[in-house]
Amino acid sequence: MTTGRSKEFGTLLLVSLSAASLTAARVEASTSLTWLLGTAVFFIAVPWFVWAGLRTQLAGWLEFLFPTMCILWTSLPLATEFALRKVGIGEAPEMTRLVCLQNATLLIGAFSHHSRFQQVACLFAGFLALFATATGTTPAVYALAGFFGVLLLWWLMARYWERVQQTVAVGQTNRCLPLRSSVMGGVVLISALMLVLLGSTGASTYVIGGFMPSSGGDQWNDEFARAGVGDGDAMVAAKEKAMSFGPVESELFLDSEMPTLYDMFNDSYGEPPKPKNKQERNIGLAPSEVQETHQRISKTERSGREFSVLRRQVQGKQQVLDGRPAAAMIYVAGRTPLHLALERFDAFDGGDWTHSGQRDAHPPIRLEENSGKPWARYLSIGASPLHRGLERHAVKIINLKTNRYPSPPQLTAVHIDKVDQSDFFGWTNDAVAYMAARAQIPQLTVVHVISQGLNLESLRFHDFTARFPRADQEGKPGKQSAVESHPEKVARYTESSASNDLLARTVAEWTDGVPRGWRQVEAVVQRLRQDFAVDRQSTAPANCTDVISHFLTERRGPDYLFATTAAVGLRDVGYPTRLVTGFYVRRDRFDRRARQTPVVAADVHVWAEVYVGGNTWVAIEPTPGYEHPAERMTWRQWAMAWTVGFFSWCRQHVIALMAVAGGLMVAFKTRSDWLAFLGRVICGLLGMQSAQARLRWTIRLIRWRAWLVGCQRPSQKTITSWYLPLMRTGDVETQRWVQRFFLWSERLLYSEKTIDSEDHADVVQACRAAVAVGHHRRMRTCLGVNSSKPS
Amino acid sequence: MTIQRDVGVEPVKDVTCQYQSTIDALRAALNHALIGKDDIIEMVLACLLARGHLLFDDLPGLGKTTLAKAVAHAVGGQFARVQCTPDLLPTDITGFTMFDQKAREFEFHRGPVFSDVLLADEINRATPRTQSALFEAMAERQVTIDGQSYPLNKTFLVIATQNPVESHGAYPLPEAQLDRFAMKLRIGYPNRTSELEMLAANVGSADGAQTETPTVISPRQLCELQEHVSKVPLAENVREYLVDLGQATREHSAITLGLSPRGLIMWQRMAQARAHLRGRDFVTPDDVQEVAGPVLEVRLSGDFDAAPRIVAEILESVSVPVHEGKLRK
Repeated sequence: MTTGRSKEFGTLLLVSLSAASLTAARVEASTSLTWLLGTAVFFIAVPWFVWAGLRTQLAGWLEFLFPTMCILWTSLPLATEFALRKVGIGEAPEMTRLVCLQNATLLIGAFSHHSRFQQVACLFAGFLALFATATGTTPAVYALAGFFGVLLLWWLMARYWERVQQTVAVGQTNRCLPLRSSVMGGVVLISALMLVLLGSTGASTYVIGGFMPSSGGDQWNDEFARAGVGDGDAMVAAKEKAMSFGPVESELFLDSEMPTLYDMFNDSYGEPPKPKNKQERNIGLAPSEVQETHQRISKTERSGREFSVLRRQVQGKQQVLDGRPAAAMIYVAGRTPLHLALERFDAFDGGDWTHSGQRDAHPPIRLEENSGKPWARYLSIGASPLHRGLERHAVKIINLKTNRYPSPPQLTAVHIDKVDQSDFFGWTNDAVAYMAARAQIPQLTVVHVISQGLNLESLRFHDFTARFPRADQEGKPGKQSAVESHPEKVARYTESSASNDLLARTVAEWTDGVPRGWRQVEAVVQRLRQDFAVDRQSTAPANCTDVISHFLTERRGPDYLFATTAAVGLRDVGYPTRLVTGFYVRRDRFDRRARQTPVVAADVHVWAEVYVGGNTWVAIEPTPGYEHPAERMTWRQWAMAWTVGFFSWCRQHVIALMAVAGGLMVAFKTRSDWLAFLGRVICGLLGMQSAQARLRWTIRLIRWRAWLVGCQRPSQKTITSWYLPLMRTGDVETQRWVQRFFLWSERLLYSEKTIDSEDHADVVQACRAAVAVGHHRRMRTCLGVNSSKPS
Repeated sequence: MTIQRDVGVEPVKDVTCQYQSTIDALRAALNHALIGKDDIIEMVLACLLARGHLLFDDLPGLGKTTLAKAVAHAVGGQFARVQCTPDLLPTDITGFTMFDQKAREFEFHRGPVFSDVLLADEINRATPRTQSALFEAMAERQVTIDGQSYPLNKTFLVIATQNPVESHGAYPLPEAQLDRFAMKLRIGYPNRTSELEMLAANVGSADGAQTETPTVISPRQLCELQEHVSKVPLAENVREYLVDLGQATREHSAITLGLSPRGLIMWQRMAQARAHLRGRDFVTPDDVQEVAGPVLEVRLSGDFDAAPRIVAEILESVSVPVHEGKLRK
């Protein structure tokens, strides 16, 4: 049979588990994960400290403070929620109320040595776990709730057997409250309350705005509400327009213009300057006779042909209103951040990136059956020694006009449900997977893509370009050592006619002293990320002929200039590169509830790829602010990278770290001083009312100081026998008063007679002597003297 | 465990102790008889005030008999002494009825138990039969002979001595007998200063006889004092502490026979007496702890040397109440 202590431990564990499952359910809709987890840990940890405190000499104090603690602890989530909403972090009102209940339950669980509390805590914990499973959808919630269920079963069985044993031993049940009458009483009380409420306020009771916060309602909504039937203001809007119904702000209905990648680039970066058209003479017509055409269609015609790095931001182009969320182009499920390629360019003339039209030799696409689903295999698994592990993403096309599959680097296989025709899968000339049979991928299509992870470690230690010739640098030794089966495959990617001396010099300087191979690529990327700043407004003037030089001098510009500089610069030192345009799936856009990441028009991005042999092109990210494409590291590489990162961070913040360490050291060294001072202030303030209060608080102060010097009274020792030897002084008169203080304390604790008001002066003087003599430093001295004595 | 109170402190409240001078005189008298054993004297005093019987258990020549005689003389009243030997008979202690030829009737000859202080020297040399003769006298303060009960004096006090190391020809006291003693004390060797003082005091007394201890309290006064001490109150939390300690003796693995309720009552009386000697009108856990050793050791049968360790373990296993007794439910 469980002992009392393990029973109470079990109860608190049960309650903590239910709190954890509630936390897991709250995670899905939270606005600040850090804050939520931090507070959850705090809310669960503190009752455990209280539980532990109840098993020390603080027990009486804690029992005495229980009502106060209960009120404060329960209302703490409400107070923090109120404060947090001011800074834009919040939670649905019913969740806040549940956290209040959770706190009350945890505290009651900590005090579960009262048998009634134990049952109440168990009941509340059950409710919390039930609510968590009802609202949560993540596996973590179910796992925790399942664990809770198992523990609850054990708990109930233990209680049952205990009760049986008690009944057998005592021969009767021990019920404090008569069950039938208390249930009846409760029902009657609640009914009476309802009647009074409804009778006095009439129908307005159940139509009060925000009475049930999550369900919205008329005239009221909550920005942090998790769900609702009315959606507050939106519902009102729908009521006012007769033709509309339900929530009116559906992005699918409003934004159905289906922009292409080209349109999005123009929106985000500005359009390339166009040569002025020749003025043709026209005859003005009356407005009624003009036939309206859709303006945007013409723009899409240029899609996929070129990418100009000479663009101008046009003021007034941004028409998106503040506060309105941007419409998602696609949704991505899977690990973020992620680079999704849509177009690739191999030729650069100094102003525009274009594709030469030459087609790379790709392995044939095979349709395979995998778990009953058709998969188009673009690349065989493990085709390169660099490949390491597979990664799967699902991309849902919402509002993008393209027939290309947004594909991650090293695209291996593509699957669209029920599409088992091979002509739906193909390679474009610029090496992008596309839906060959159609002009565009239908809306709401979900494309599953599998990509290979890469481990670049082997590239760092040898010159991978040694295997293919550099077409433009004939005098260099790389040419002689080249063994290459497809020289034409590499040639057009190393062609760097658009380069200039400045770029060549700069890149040569960046790679100086770095051994050939991937580390040179990394050096160039690193310098670009370090020394240059992203600025979408900072573009070259319209008549600029050398955009790259302009960028190198200005040291700022939009991401396509970073990518262009990296690509052309790397070509200068003999690495085959190409430019990639597409989307950068941002980690911070992740929607925890839907567990997917929306990609909006602003996420269009340009980066580069480096050819490392075989069919492998490795994406590089030269733009600061965007994360590098993920590299699959071995645990050793990971540990190494982490250690190096940690030490470099420490090196950067060395002064701050030293200051903090110094401060902590001083605080630690003087901890007993300031803690004792704090204790004295608190005890002095609280012990002013009466002689008893003064005695009580002086005892607590001495206990606190003894704890500070590390000689906490063992619970088996009496106050006098433990503290008096720590409070020795040479002054006989003071020592007499100290002993008198102990006599008064014993009288307070163990005598049934009260301390009268005429004793007040005596008590005060005794307490003063005790506070003066029972100083933590003196205690330490006494402790030293005592411990040096042979016992 | 013993608190060193090297600075005199007057009681927090005036405990209206008209007996304080008597107690001081008693203490001085006993201190004079046994030099340098203040803590033992305090225990003897506490036992006296708690109306408990006393067992001295120590090696020969450490002053057991001297102290017992000093107590007997200090209390005044009738003093009787029995030197226990294997041929001692129960009637040698309780008394016997004898036919008086002259008066032609049976006459009761009172034994040594009809005294105020009975010193039973080397009690473990008497046979169990004789030892058992003391059961009724010690527990109920009366003897029954031939169906007739004879009450003993109210202040009847047994002071017994025994030698723990000589086991040949000795009969260990039965548990029932031990439980009737309030405490067992070990005097131990005196320290160097005390021994020097003792030697100095002995110069000039040719027969080695010690000076007679003066009588400082009458049996009637002692009885009043005992009544007074029995009224010292215990707070709820201290009573609970005592009960917890009693329970701990019953749960301790090394103890076969835990503390009896009679033993617990004796412990409480000893703590009361101790509190009174300290000039307090309430009992603290300190009092309970200080008398724990002598009270428990007499009851814990077993190894002579293990007893102090077991007592310490029992005290270590129970938390001292530090909440206010009045606040507790």
